[in-house]
Amino acid sequence: MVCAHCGQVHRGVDLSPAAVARCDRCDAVLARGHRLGAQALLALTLASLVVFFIANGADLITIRLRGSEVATTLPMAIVAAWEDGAPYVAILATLTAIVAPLVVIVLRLLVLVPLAFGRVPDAMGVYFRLLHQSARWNTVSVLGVGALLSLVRMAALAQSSAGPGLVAIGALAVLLAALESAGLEHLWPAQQENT
Amino acid sequence: MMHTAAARLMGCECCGWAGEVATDESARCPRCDQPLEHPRKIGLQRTWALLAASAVFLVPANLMSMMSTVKTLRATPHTLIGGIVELWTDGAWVLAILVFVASIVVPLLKIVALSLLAWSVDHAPQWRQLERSRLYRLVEAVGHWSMLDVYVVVLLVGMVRFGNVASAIPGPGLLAFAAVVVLTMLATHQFDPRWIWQDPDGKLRPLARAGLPRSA
Repeated sequence: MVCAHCGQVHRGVDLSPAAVARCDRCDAVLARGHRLGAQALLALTLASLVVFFIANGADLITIRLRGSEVATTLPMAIVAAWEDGAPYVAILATLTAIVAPLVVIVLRLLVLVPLAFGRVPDAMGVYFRLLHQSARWNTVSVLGVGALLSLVRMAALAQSSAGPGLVAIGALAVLLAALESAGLEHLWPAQQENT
Repeated sequence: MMHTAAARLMGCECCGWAGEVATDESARCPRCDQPLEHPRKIGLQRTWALLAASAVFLVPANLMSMMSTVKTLRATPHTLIGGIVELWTDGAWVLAILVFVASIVVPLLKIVALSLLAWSVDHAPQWRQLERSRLYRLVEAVGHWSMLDVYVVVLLVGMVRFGNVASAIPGPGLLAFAAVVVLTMLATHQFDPRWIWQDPDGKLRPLARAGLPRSA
């Protein structure tokens, strides 16, 4: 195997679960010992898909002001921000908070569903490249902290409380981080040549 | 071409493939078609260009108001620093420090650190390579946390909408700050940490041995 961070060539070793191999030159993580196969990863990914829909469909924050109560979901808040004069930033928030995590989940499903049934998907390479790009723009964890923070800042303007959507965003951040470190590369069929 | 067509062991950053390719800078991964190398000269130029642009946007991002809040007919503009000071004086010290790090320290760190990394690729190739590698990984890891304030303002603007009674209105600083975040993230992606370990003429230093990865 070759270190993605510095190009150093290493001999592959079998790692026990939870062990981490680091590059002997630049100290980057080379590989992790994996506990999960395609089926377990598929289950985790499906769980993240469900949580994703809860995070986007359930109320994020409820605001009470002078007897009226307004509950807002994440997509509704972004659309409202667009209408209220921040269209470009609303697009950025949509891409990094909604589109990127959804793309990451869908691409993982496209890889994992055939693998779980013992078939290697034809376009696996394309999915990996797209995953490489989209995973960089996924910022659900930052969104979770941002939502908590906006709750604090809102206190100065109106009475507000957190809804189930906020909990789901937190859960989604944890699930996606777990998927990221659980890895996917080890599911490639063994290389025939050049190893 | 910078390289002779000699075969060379290369790895794919995207899918983990490793093998010998007759390499020039256009070699692609046989498994996932990701380019195996970032073209170095143009990549460094792009890194510098994106860094310069983000440094320019850093000024309005910090000076102009991120948003204005309206409370019973009174509008108050808030700058980046202003929001942090408010959190601090309200007693939310942990949050104030968190926002200070995410919104002020991280963008500055990214611009300064990436400039240092991009400069040293050509001018100090042998200097503290391990530390430079670690610095790059740090920049990569903390980079997207500066989105924090963008989300806070978007959510406030999108949720607190009670007209003159209570509302939040986006300010011109918001767009500039979002531009800093996106441009520095793009600059980070343009920079290839493998340049740290290459000679200035772009050749990979010959490797004495195939090392064993350290297990921990």
